[in-house]
Amino acid sequence: MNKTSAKKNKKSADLTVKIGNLVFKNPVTVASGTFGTSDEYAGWIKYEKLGAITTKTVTRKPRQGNVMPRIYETPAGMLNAIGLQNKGIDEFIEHKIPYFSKIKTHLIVNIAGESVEDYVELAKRLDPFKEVSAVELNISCPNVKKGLEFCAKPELAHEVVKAVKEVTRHPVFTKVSPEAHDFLGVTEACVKAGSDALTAINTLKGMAIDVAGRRPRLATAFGGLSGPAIRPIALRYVYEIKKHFDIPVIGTGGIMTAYDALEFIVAGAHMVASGTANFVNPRASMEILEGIEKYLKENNIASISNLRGTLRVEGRKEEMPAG
Amino acid sequence: MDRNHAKKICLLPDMKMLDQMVAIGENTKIASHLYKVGFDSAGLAKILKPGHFLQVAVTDTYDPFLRRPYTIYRVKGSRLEILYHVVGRGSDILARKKRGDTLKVMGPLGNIFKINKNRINVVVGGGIGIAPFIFLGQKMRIDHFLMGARSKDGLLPRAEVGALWKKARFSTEDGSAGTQGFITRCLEEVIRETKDAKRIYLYACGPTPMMKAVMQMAAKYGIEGEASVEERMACGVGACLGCVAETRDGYKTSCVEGTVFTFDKLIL
Repeated sequence: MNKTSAKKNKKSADLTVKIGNLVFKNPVTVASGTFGTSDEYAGWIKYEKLGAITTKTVTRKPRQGNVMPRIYETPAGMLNAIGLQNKGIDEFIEHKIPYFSKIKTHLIVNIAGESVEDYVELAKRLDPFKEVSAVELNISCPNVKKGLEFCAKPELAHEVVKAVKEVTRHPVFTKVSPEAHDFLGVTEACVKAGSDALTAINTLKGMAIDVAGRRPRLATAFGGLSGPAIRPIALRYVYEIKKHFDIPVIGTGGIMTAYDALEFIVAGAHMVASGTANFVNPRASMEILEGIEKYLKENNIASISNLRGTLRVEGRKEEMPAG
Repeated sequence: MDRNHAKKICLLPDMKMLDQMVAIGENTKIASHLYKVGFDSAGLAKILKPGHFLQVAVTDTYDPFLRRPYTIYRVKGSRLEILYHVVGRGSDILARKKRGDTLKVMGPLGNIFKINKNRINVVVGGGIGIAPFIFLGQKMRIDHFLMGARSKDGLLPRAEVGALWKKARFSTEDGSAGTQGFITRCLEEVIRETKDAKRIYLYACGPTPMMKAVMQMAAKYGIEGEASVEERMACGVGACLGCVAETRDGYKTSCVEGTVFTFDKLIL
């Protein structure tokens, strides 16, 4: 190798991430619900370049979702109340899983139910498929009845995670909600029940009003707030989880750029997921990945693991000053 | 910036979708409530068909956050035109843009209008909903061009309608131009004047109440047709499920499975 090419081909950083027995080629995935369930973004990015694809929530029975209007733009983000519209697990197994059989990256299937039984049944149905790398338990959807129930109390979170762990060989990730009153309690329950990773955070409940019409902008009145507006909150939760528990975290919440993603990695996230960003830039996940790669290279950081959790807090106080 | 300087951001070899930075060639007010913006994109001009829309980012700062869906109004050579009115922050920013300013446009998105050769093609546009029918008229013979608005300020001027002018009928709610009332009054005239009304094929785009009235009239006279629906959108690619339209086969994404739905499927 001559001098110029050596300079040009500065060694690429090691982007691989391990969660349990799974090795992800890089730390970038997409947030459930923002990437469809199969080829929605195939015209824009090469799926196999991502560390993993995370599907929109799948439920036992088909769900038609909430009535319209379901979305509304807000400052630095949007509200949504889709209501877990999906065609159900049968259709997912028959039509969506085969699509992923040829795509050489991990598939994380997000599932939700109204009872422990629902989650268990869904995990069992997905268990035989080698195309599925992990299941992500959505216990944090603010837009359906009982969507947040399992995040409401640590005991319930523990029960559902434990029950799913018992019936599946797949690693189990649990997506937690900032709406949980006892966030750290719920987190701890998930960790103790054997969750292999946590995905943080889901959306926050919000609202917008049409003043002239005196009506909520969404048919369901409330919706989940996502986008850069919630990024500082998401970051704080990821940091808090990592401070208290030794569990891999998939950080998500308003990540638009590689810089945003790096914030989460420095806070301790193993992986990052672009969510609402995909809606405004279909190549957001790829650009984030390219940006992370570039940053590591330029800063001579040999591996993403050398950056993870390197936040220095000495001299910074977390508590608000008294008074 | 030279308008030919438009930078290609993304084109995958086997895919026909583009996300491009384009430079505005012209941005003009054509009626007191209507504007049009034109920019060059040879790549998009080649593949766009009537009914297609683009997701337009009016700034590069994600503020306003979402892109805006705009249907194609006219294609001339490599020049694309979009018709818009100022209804919120996004369109307000767009209206202030000058020649040379940039937009990011992504498309072509959505499905397209059916091209009929042997039917009596009647288009019905309400307000800004007239936009896709100028492009449709470039690709297909239109026999009747019906345009309704609240007042004459919302109607396309003659220079914009061009050759279709002699096939045009207008209505305004306030009676300031054309027939006073809703555009369905003009539509009923056309239907009654047509010997074999079953040969009519209707194309409708506009506010939901207007399209509903058009569909009811079509049902009354046994006329086929299709409507382009307008819902708030986030992604434009069928992922977010925020823009669904109700159809006889359940909710369908208006961005991918629409925006055009046939009257027999669409429920308004």
